[in-house]
Amino acid sequence: MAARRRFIAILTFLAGLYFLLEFVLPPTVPGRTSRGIYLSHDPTVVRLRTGAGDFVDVAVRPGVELSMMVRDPTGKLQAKVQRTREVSVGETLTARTRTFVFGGLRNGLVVDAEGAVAALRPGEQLYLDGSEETPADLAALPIGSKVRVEVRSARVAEVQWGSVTLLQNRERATIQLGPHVAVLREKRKGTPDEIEPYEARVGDTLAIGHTTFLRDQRDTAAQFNTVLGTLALGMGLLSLAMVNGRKLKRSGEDRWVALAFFAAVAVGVCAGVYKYYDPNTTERAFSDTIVFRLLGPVGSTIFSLLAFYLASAAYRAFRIRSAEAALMMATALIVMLGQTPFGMYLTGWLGEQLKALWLPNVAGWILRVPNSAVVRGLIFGTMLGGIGTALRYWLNLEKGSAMGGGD
Amino acid sequence: MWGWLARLDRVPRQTIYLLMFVACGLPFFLDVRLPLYVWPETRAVFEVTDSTPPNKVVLICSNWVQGSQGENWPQYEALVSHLMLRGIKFVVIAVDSDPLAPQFSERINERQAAKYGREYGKDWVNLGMVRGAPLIMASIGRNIKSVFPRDYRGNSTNDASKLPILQGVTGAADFQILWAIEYQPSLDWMVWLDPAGRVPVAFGSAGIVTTSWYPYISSGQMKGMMAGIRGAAEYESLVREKYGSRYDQEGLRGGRLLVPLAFGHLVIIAFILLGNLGMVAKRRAGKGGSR
Repeated sequence: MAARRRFIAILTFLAGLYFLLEFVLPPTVPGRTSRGIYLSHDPTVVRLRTGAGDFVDVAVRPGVELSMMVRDPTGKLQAKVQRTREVSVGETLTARTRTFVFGGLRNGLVVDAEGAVAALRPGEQLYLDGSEETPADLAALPIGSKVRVEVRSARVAEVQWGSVTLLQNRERATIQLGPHVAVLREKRKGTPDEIEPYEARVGDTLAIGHTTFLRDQRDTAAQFNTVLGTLALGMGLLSLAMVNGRKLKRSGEDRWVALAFFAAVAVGVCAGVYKYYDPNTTERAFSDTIVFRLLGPVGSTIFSLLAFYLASAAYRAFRIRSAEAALMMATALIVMLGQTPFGMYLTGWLGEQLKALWLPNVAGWILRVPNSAVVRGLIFGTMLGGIGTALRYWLNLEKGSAMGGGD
Repeated sequence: MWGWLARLDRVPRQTIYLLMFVACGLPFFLDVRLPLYVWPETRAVFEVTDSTPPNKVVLICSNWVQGSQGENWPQYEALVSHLMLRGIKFVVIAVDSDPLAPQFSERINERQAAKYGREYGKDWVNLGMVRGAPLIMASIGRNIKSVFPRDYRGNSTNDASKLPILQGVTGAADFQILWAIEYQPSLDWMVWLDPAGRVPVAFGSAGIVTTSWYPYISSGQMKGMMAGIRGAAEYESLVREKYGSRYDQEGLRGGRLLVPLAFGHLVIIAFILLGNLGMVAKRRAGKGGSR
């Protein structure tokens, strides 16, 4: 128990520390970051070695995209785009060197829509835009198709890092790019955007420096969060199955409830899987019936009961026993009437000149002014409470079951 | 007389339920028309959505399911019918919702697409559900395709032939507006999707929680909202006002459900007043009896 508790505490602290540092620290290392007005740049050139032993130099310019081909959970190839600064010698990459509109074949050479020869270097292949698996069949490729020129699964043999020329204190300064050197475009408002040097426009204010890596891991942290959230779903189902499984073992009246639970889970799983089937199949019809003809009406019915309870509760609770209660009731009546068409029906006759007295406008004023003030106060209160609770969890001051403590 | 009125202090709840049932049910059988006032919060989001340029998409986070379909369905359908009518491209996602949410939204998308002859992948895409808010919201703002490598139907989001709508869509800069439609949308959208605040945020929520959004609208963090069924009815009326007969309102629920809702409110108001009258009468009758 103590080890589990310590493990949860350390993990929580490290996760919290990451988010705090990611929020507090700038994206590039302070003191090693150059700032200035963008003037020009020399592109980085990535030398790729294909499987056939050919070398292809890819200058990182507009239209060029470097990516790693990874297989997604369904086994299909998926391109994961990489920033130039993340490229390192020895890794395997796919580079999209350019795109153009296919204009046909002339003397065996590929031409674009304008009739210019789109010479392919050794190692480069044409892919129909949208098709990921196989190169385009040039003989069958329709004229006018958008195509990509790509070098697939080539090893990075060398990287010739480019540079960016900035105007700093009225002097030109050339900043050398390199691995993990990020180029940030500063904005008047908000956090700076990381860009490729070719995306900069003359006059942009850039900050160039070695990345602190924290921001690079944001997507990983988000995915971790997604995995945890999904795991929680499974754990909830497992926990319910265990509880109902125990009930099923016992021969009490509860076992019918437990049996209904397992039957509902089985039907729910089938409905969930079948929802991906084509609309005209029996499986899809089964899923739609469960969701739209069973769950839908049941859910709506339960929710609609609120209207009856609300009417009954309002009748019993809204009694004018003090001046405050009278004020509250008057406000509630105005807001309620103002939100329905009856508000306009009752006061619309006042005309445009007395528009401010129309019930919807009075209700709107109440919601926008006094209500906003109250809600803001509530938000401040709950947020301060939230910060306090978060700090308790982060610093392991919370002793509840969520942190590995007793039940 | 006070003695008779004092009986209003203790109306059996079954009577209240019955009158509520009649008030909500009757307008479905009678053609009742009531004047509609469009609130500025609805008008503001309609205008931003309506002015979507061709190079941008509307991002809709549709998290509602059966529980809140009474209010969220009319809102979602009013919005989607507007987008389909105008040919505005939109991307539907669900974040931390019930796993059934994409199924509910897709059903409406398909129905409206059939009306206006729109095509999946070209005019709209449903990317399904993902967990991991609020961090995942930031990832959506940076690169939506990295969060959703496949759509709800299993197509790769990088496949330009099947999902041309997503070509040129990367992140926050490509979204005209974010619509979050569910019982109580998450405030995290305002903070995480685009920290620079370039993407206007609009909520479609249950009427009862709308009071919480007004401070964010007045501060400019939210562009506006559709407040419950009233918001949906107002949105429908704005589209009708601008596009006239081109707008096919067959099957839309906002305007239709507004009347039962109004009558339901009227019953609540009537009983609050009657209850207080009964309370006063009971006091008077009590005093009279003691004399």
